[in-house]
Amino acid sequence: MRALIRKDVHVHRLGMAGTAAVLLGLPALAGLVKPDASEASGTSLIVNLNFILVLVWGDWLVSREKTKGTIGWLRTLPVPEETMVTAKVATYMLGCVSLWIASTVLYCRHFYFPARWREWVLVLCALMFFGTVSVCGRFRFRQKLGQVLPPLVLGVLAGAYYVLVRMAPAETARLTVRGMQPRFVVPEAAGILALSVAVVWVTVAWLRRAETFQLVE
Amino acid sequence: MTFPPTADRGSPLATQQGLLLKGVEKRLPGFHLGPVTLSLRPGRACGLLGPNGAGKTTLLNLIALQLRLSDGAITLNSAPIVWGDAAWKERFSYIRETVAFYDELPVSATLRLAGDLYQQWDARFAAELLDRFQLDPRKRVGTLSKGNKVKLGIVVALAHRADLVMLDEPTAGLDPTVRAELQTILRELLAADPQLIVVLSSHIFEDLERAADDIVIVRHGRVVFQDELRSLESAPLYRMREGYVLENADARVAWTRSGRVWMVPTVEAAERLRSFPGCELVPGGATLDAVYHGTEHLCA
Repeated sequence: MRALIRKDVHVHRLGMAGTAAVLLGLPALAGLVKPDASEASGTSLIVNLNFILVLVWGDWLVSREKTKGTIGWLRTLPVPEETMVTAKVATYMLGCVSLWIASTVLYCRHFYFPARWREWVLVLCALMFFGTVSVCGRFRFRQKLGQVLPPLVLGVLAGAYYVLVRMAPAETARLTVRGMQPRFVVPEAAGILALSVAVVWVTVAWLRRAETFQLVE
Repeated sequence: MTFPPTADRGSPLATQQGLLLKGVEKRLPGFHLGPVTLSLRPGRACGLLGPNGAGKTTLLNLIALQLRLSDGAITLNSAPIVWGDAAWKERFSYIRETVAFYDELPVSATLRLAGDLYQQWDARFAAELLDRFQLDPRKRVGTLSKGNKVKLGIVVALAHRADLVMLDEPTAGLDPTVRAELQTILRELLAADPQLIVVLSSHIFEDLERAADDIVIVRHGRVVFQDELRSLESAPLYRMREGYVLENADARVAWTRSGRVWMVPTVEAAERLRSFPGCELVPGGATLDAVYHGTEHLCA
């Protein structure tokens, strides 16, 4: 798996580093344009940019293999399907975790630490989950659906939360506060990560059955 | 007029040694390959010939486990090869017409990647081959010509000690010098490793005539001819008088054109047919070109 991760890092290093630099530069630019912005709005920008990159990177990592046909070569090599998928997810995680740590330490460490560290952990888990959905969705589906799926999942979940807030604001706020209690953070993070593992597992099971022409675009 | 594949009639290709495809079928939307029965022997190069869409690539994809068999079986030295067989992937190399390595990686990194993924990898041999093929390990794969990408594919194939090397249209779009070089390389590989099986799919007769030992012609998803190239080229080609009724056993391959039967007779039938009234020996004998075009009339 290390060989595949090393290969992905080599192939995507410029694109990933470039977009990460943009993400890290944008808040600085926004700070110059609007120096009186609150830390909360700056944090919101960081979170949103991280989520956007989740979707972009996840797609890149797999799309390139499918459109250039390199996945066809990989499939002729003795690489188990689980290694193929987990290497992609791991490469994504490497980038995602590094970027989340770098961007929050640079721009919103006072917002998250020490009071909101639980939120920080849960957002990171959510980023990891959506990245996994993005990588696996792109393996499973062709370009159009594969690119739309992760924002769709994100949109549906955000929409459901919004509906809950509108319908039962007090109850939702109470549940949100309760969810941030230290004793719930670990099971919640574990739940999100378990969901990610399930997505990977379903993708691997499909990939084992898939013929190569279903993968090359 | 159709004839059973020659292997079904006791051709020397019908042997359990090497890679055997038995009744292999693949059903795809709008295309049906097979049933194909074919034997690929160690130490030999098999040339796959056929028009576009005949099923050559489908056949190679089935052997390379890129497509699932709809029916039939593939065995190597009588051991079955099944879908997802990781051990089998250690033993073959498949070089597609569009060689899809990672353009961004240097040649050395591509070899390192392959070396990390194959259990059996001879790095020293890979370096020797790079030198032999004059490939610069520092060059990015994306900057290599198609000919050099094919050579890189051959380096990967040989450095992991593949038993079977499949090349799908490797010479398409290459200049004659590079094509001749590849033909020489393939001959050298076979001379060096008597266990190696090479399958070469091509439209170019000259490539196959120079590089292949056996010829398989595929048309409309079926193998319509398979035989040893050398024995084919030394065989006579007969044109029979109108009204001649063909005995299947007489012909290695036969077709009708302009109302007359053309045939490459079996060795046993050749002498007998020569004295047959109305049998005419075609000058030049049974060339690959004549047989290839003749087989257009088998399944049309």
